[in-house]
Amino acid sequence: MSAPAISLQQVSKVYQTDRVETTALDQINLTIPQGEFVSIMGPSGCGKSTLLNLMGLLDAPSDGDIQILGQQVAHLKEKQLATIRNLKIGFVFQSFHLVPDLSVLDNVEIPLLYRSVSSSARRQAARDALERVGLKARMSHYPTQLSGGQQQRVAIARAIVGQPAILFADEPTGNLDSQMGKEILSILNDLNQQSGTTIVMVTHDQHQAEQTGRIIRIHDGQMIH
Amino acid sequence: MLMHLFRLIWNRKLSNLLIILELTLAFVVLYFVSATALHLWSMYNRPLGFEWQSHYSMTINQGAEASESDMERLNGMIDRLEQRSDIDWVHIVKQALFQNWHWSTSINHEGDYIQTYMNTLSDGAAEDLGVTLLSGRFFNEGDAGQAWLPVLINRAVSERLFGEGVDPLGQNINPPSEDQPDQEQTEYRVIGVIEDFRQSGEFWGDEYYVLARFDTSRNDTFANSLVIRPQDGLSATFEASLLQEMTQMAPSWNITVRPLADYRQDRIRSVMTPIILSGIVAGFLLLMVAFGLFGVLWQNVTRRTHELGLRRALGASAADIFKQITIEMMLVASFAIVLGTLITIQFTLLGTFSSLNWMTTIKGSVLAAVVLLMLVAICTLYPGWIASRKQPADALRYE
Amino acid sequence: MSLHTVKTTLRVLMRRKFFTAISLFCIATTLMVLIVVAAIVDNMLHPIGAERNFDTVLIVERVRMANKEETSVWSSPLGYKFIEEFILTLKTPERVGYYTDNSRQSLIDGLIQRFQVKYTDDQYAKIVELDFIDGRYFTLDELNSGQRVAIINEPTQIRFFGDQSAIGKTIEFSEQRYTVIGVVRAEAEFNKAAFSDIWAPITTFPSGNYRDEMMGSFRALIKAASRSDIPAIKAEFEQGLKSFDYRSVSDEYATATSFANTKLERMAREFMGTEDELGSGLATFLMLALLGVVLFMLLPAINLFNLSISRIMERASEIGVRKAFGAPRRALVNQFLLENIILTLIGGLMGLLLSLLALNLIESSGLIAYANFNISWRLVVWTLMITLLFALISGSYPAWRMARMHPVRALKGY
Repeated sequence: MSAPAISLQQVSKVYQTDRVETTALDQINLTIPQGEFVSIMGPSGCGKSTLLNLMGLLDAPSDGDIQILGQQVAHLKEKQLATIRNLKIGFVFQSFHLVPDLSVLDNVEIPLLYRSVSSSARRQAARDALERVGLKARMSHYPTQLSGGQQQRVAIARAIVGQPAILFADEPTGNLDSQMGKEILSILNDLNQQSGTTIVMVTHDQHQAEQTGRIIRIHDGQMIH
Repeated sequence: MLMHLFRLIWNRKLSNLLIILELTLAFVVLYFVSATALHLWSMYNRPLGFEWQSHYSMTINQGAEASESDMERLNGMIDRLEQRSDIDWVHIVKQALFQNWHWSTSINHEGDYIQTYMNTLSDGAAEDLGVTLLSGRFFNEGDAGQAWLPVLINRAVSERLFGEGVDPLGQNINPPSEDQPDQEQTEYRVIGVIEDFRQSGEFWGDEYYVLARFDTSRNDTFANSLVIRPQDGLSATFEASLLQEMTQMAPSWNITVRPLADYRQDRIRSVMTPIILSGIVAGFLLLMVAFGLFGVLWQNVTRRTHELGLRRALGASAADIFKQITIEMMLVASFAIVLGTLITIQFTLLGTFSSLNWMTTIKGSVLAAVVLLMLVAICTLYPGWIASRKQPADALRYE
Repeated sequence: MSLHTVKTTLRVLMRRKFFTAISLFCIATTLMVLIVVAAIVDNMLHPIGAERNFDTVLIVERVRMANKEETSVWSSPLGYKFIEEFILTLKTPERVGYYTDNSRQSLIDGLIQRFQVKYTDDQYAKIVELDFIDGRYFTLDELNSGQRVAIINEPTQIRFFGDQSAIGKTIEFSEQRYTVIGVVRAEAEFNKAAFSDIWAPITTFPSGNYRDEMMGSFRALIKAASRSDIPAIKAEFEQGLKSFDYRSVSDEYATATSFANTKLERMAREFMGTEDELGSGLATFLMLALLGVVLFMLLPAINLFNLSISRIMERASEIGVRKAFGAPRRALVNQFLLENIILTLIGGLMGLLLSLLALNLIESSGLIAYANFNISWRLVVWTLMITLLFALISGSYPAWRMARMHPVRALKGY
């Protein structure tokens, strides 16, 4: 295998509020090879969401280096970061974040809107992604017409439609009952095994975490080994 | 509580700034609408000073400058009218009522000059028009042939020139002045004080008015305007027979016969039409602001679910939340009112609009403030109610 | 991309009916008021009827005369003598016409009827291109011989003769009987040179006194051969007034001030009250008009601005998602601007329809006699441009601000 999917060196994140400095992450070193399925665990407020946002290039570290697929991102401009997110990264959120004004199909094709893809190819890719999560039949529905589990499957379809190398999932089952949670997890597992997508998932569920390749535990902004 | 809300408003200054800006402009619009309305209302309620309800105005346009034969012809016409059995009286009112004919002149008493409007009326006209006499007497034939001309002044002129509570009867206006001997001015003697004579109607703002006597026995001034009172009220047949008879007597003159009530109506319409049109536009603007505010507040409340839920969790009652939202908005509106008043007061200070005196300004500001607060209150009710129904659980769900 | 945006926009607008309704109401009423005012002004400055070629016509309405010491000042419409001795002697104009307005009463079947009579010369009809339904204007011969012939407008024909043709019939005013020789379409009241109920030769005026007056009730129309001649005419007019010998007319006067105005200048003078002043105040008038429009649009703009921010804020999470999936800022700014433009265009269209309705209402209200408003292409294009400007002003800052939102905060919804 070539470069690791994600590599963090001495990464810190400090939040500056009025007078108080809060250290959310303190000198994290972490390497995730391509094709791995990693879960991140830790109590509320320990910094695991911050870590995910940094790795997903949604936020910039206060200090340290981040490499995504071997590329140094520290000096990249906002526009270039957007391009990397668009081409290499997919996201699944705890509260789904589907756009309520758009149909399922329109929601799924969002990542492809910001690439130069023809409209027909875009729709085809979106239909394929929906087929993979078993929701092709619902493509002209609107998010509010779907159950929580179905909405999260749409969100996964949206995350994989651009065939990203890395998928970040922030408590993807947090808002779902355990049966639906299981389904989501199995979809993620299939994705990891069949397409070799690197998956980083934040979870509270020890049982789910144990089904992944590696568990990283965070406590008070630091990794526990 | 109030300080807490102030801090809250301060911390959200940007979004509040826009609302304040919007409300300030709305206040300015409201102020102009209410100040204008109040001004017009107070003018409308001032006594007009004469009767018009069942009178005709006859105006004459004889073309060029009047010659002596024109005046003889006019006197003939007046005689003919007086002979008619269906006419109560006919009088000369030289500056036609409710029309745009004005005679403005400068008069002085002991060197104190004022600019006033004047009119000349024939004997009996003032009595018959129902002019209210406060003291003194009206004109009569005995006034002819004096060195001075008899005048009736209105209360405003009397108070301005002679002082309040002073009886001006017998006093002279425009005495021959030694500093300007070549400026010829007619000397007037005050023979009576009248309440008012608002020649151009209810919306005529000018205060000073002086009535002079029209001497029908002299043949050196022409009068283009008569007021006629028919015995049996206004009627189309009377109007027609009057016009026919007069036109036959003077075919080359352009004679117009019309009820005074029509001229008054025209006058009111010409003032009210632009006012009503701008009122409609202002109404649209305010409706816009109301809807806009409603939308913004609604969205604000949705966005602040977290904060509001948290307050509920910390023990605030639904009523407390409702109160918080409404008081918060009232504070913002009050701030806008203060800001708006600072703007509107400039117009009064600079005297941009002559109709804006301090009384109207204060009344207009208060009225505008009350309406604005009511508007804001109405727009806050529903969003406030939604806010008060936020549950602590709503706050926690966002964690 | 743009199809997706259009679709999203329409969905957003449909889903947020309340916000959409408020925004559309705001845009539509604002533009309605603007279009109605603009249409009235446009019709005053560029009428489509008898005054359609007035861009080559100068109007002289008033003259101000004073004695040497400026202690006696008269200001009034022109007298016939002023026109005859001065304006008719000008060399640069193609032609000069004049008219005087008189309101007349006449007894018809025992009832008083009121109407407007214009006494004119024959040249008048060559400058004011009245639209004849029937018959013709009077000729120079008829003018010179003082023939009692009259031209009436369509409403007057209906009023006096019902649905019969008035040609050859007689009509009576000022104790004189006139034969109708022409019927024309009615002209709106604000087209002052063309508006009248009846036209008659000036030589039939009831009295001949007007011939000796310097100041009276006349207005003169000066027609230029082409627009490029206008400065020359104005210069000759100004120069001529200076060298004109008033003593030949009356020894009372020492100076005369008068202006040959274009329609726009006349409007500026009327509005600014500068009828007798040297400068027309045109620049100030235009500035004031612009200021008025800006002030009027300020409140709706702020309102829309607030609504835009609210509308976009509500969709913070959508912005977060789009950013997470790699949407560049420019794409987001474009999306929200396009949304605003679509919304504003719909509002603009509604405003246009509403203004047609309002103009119809004004026409039928009789507020302006014989008004018949025409919405020109120029006006539509201007409306479209102002609408777009409105969309850009009220939408660009909110769009820019949202596009800069931090994705993590956007996802959290604030």
